[in-house]
Amino acid sequence: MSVASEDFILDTIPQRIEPSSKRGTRRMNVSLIAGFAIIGLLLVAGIVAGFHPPYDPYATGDDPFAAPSAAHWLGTDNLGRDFASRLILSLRTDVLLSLSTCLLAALFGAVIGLTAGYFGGIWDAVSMRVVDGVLAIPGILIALLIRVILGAGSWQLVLAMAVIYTPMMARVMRAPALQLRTREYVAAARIAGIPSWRTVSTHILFNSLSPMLVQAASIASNAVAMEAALSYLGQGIQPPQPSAGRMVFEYQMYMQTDPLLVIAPTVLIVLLSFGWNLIADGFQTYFSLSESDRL
Amino acid sequence: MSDNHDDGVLLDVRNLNVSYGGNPAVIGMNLTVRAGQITGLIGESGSGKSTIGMAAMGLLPGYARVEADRFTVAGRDVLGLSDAEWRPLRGAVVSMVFQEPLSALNPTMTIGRQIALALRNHHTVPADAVRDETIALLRKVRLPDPERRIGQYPHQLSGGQLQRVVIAMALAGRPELLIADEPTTALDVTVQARILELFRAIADDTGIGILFISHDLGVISRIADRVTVMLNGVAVQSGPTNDVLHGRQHPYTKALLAALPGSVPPRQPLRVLPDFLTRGENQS
Amino acid sequence: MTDRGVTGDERDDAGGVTLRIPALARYCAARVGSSIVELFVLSLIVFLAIRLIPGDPAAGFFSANQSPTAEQIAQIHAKLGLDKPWYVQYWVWLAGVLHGDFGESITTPFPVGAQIAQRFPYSLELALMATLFALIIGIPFGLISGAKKGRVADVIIRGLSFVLISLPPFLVAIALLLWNSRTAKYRLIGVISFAENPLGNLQLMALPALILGLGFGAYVSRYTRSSLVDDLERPYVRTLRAIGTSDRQIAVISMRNALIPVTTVVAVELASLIGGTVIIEQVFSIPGMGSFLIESIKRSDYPSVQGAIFVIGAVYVVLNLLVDLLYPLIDPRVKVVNA
Repeated sequence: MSVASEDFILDTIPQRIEPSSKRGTRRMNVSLIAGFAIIGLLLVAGIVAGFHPPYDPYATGDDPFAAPSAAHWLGTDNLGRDFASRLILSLRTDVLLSLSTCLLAALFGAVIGLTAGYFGGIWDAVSMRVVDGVLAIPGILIALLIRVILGAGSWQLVLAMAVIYTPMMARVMRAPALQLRTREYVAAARIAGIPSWRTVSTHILFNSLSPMLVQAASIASNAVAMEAALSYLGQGIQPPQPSAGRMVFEYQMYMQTDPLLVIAPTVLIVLLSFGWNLIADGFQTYFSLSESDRL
Repeated sequence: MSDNHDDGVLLDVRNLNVSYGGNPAVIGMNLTVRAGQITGLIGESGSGKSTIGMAAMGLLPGYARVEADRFTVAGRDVLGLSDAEWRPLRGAVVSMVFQEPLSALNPTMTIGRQIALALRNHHTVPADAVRDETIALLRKVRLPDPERRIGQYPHQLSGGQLQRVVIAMALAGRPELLIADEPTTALDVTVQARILELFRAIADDTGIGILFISHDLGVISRIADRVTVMLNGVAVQSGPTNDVLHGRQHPYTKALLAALPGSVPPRQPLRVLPDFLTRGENQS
Repeated sequence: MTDRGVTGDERDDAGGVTLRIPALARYCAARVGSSIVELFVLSLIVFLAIRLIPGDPAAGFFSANQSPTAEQIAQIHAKLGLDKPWYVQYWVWLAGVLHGDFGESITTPFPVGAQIAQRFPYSLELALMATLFALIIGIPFGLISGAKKGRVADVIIRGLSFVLISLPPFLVAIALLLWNSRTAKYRLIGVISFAENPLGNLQLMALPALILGLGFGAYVSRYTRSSLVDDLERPYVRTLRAIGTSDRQIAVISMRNALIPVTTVVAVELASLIGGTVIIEQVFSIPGMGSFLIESIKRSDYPSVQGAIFVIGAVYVVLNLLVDLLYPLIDPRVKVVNA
């Protein structure tokens, strides 16, 4: 091959290469479907059956530790109460507790995080220092401290868990707000004279939705475990109201003779925590977020 | 094949086609790099010029499809080589210098250990001579005070110093062909000039052939012996640098030259490159 | 572009060797300083929180059927120092704490400090052993998972760590106790003094520590994996490949980098580890700080609650400080955080 033949000038202009792949399609993944199936089922079961249990879950009977039968599907407990009814009621308690905690934390966390990130300045500095401060204290200590001051019970528990998990949500929501503040369309809205609360609520909230969903599901999973732990320690839900953690605590002394009394609520806690975590993981994959977008 | 090698042809590519998952990136490319010669490859981003560099290193991702009538590196047919077959060639036969010198180096390893790694990969020198050879390499790339530098970490050096280290690493295995992918783009102008001098010296002194990839016609015109102009994955013009700059030109080359700041009289607006990407699209 | 900015070629190394030692010292001093502030704030929060509890602490000194006179109550208030303003009470308490005196328990004859001293070692042993297990399990699995991204080993390890993260440790513990109660083959509950029987102490502590360590280790594994995957995608890996480095050797080099940020996850997870010890101690009847806290809450023994929460929180602050002080030793780049 001679050197001269390497020299050439094309007399055409090559066409632009058109990419043929369809990018950006989001597909449901196994984690998300499985998580929604588990939580959806438990939610419906807990709320529907929770208001219409087969027996009065508080009514004691004269047949303690009965084996499962047609009358009592899961048998009875140490006081002869219908175990299935108690389990359904505790499912309702747990579902409602984790949902309300997660909604409260999402609401307060989103408000604090979004406004801190969007407005910056002193509000940002002060609120983020408080957030870091609360995050620095082990959650269980906060919960026990609030229990010592306000006493034990459901609403105290929800309040304590909201205090523990709000900072997590605030931290996660601040980052996208901070980032979005500099985007052109948000600036355009500001120039057009649209009030800042509307900019925050429409543009920024919508764009922060993906990390919010991941974090909310993750908080719900943590709340299930925290509730179970506190109730197991006798510092959460108070008798006679049943919750899964409380039942493990109450029935563990009968573990050897009637293991079902401990196994059933344990399975319930694991399913709930697992289901919420699957949803969190599923959302993370769905929105292609990285590990560091989560707290 | 070996006849070409005897001619001093280090990179010989005929009718190269590369595509990513059905999307063509390089179409019907011909390219030659000879010993002691610097071949410039110019084009805007997305024109496929970096794909060619990575193909010559065997570093394209697994989903890339490579076809060619002929693809030899230093006389060896490299078409269809596996990653394991490529490994002994990388560094020892063909080596590469990248755009961003700070991120191209491992932040937690000293400069000396990173160059030593390159020396050990191909047993270039006996183990007890690694330190001396490292210092000699750093001298060769004109890094001042090499004895002190080998104990330092990348974040302690400036961009120009780091690029010299990266070049030293690329030269450690004594390759015949060097691929330089935008090696001066991240550097400021005065440093750029010195690094370009270094590449010229390497080609002249050691006879290494260099494929110099850039989007900057000013850089290419100062360093390259031959130039190939790329647009949309296709080579639109190829020839000795002088001919391309001053001879008959493809419309795209003409547009590139017209956009150079030096081509416009002072206090006149710079010319904007017509959008060839869109024009190609409109024709379809 | 580089974040340092690439300017003159022969510019000398700012942040080079000469600046290294003072910068490090400054970093350490700043970190120790902020930990002291954290401890101070913690003590204040704990002290004030206990003051918020409705009811009179003096009530703990009388049984339900006694009706003490105002004089008797005032006497007890004076003894507990409750007749002084809160900031004086706080100062007296803090000064005592600094000398290891946490005040008197109102439900047991032993001073709070003595009880804490007796229980503290068990909790510390449990937490340290759990961390050790977490690192021994989490790091190798995380590295394997990251290096073999997308392969069978990775899928299995990720699945396992996901399950372990979702399982509350105390339920795993109860399941094990349940299984053991069938055969009653092993002694799993309680503690053996280390001074009397070191081997027995470690053996008995191993199971609770392992259970805590599994969940913690799952987090470590998950984080190590994502850290290694991120590092393997960094441009320097391409440079290593371009000089003919083998995949195995690249993995070894990258692992070193990948482990640096793992110290951060250890620091973050310490909080939930401490929460875990409180519960696990309860399951295994370990007389540590967690059990002490829960018992004191049940008995409404507020001086003890105050002391226990402060000590557990303080341990967390100190462990966090230690992790941060270790950081510059692991990472050769001097990390100076501007406070």
